[in-house]
Amino acid sequence: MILLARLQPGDDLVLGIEALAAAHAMPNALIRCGPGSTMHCTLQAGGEPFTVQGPGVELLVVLGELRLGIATLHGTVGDPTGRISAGRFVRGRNPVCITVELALEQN
Amino acid sequence: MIAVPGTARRARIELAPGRTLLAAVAEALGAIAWPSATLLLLGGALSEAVVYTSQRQVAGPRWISYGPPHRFGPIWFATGSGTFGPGLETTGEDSPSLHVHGTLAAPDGTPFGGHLDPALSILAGPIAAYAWGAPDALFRLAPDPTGFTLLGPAKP
Repeated sequence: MILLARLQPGDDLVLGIEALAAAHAMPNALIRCGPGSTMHCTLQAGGEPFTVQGPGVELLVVLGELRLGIATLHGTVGDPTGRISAGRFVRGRNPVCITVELALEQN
Repeated sequence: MIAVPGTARRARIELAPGRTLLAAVAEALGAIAWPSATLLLLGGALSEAVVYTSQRQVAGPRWISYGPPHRFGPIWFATGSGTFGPGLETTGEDSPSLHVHGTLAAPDGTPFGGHLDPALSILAGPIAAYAWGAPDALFRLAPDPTGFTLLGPAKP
């Protein structure tokens, strides 16, 4: 099964995906985020979390997985100057700006 | 959050050089009779690329918009993600839409990331892509309360 989905403004990227998965009884899945944007973006790359400022941060390539209902997402983002940052998306700290298109592929 | 479940299918497609990103994806998916897909785009050369990043909108119905275009060419396309789907049923604007974000790299490796204009970004060489979709679910363009026309999940 595949779940084609869209997150809307104000949804959190990680928590929103977990809520979608729970609503559709899909605890384990490959997560493929298509294009989208967050208002700002908080990532972690082995150290302290850091924030990429918006007003819109473009999600470039974001991949992850759901294991037992918990989502882990990694990827690259571009800020309003085109500068790229990368890392793991911190739960609860990545509010969607306009949209995030995504697919969850059950495994 | 909006979601539509479907029966998963996956395909590898190859985007043809000399075409815009929009035309290349439309042709490659059309060849396998897929009206819609989510895409993981692998690397390749572009002869031209037009990229937008966001800026705050001080007036009008939207609080955010795209800033002026960043034009590149020729440039290396490193990786990207995309969503392709049919147009607006209600208005008769049935042209398909492609939403693409990606990373470009200058010859010295300097990256630049953002929203690519799929109608103005042109392939110089082939680009491979992996497509995910479903025969019983798709992404379709629709007006949205944000003021943008957006691709969202729907039943065929």
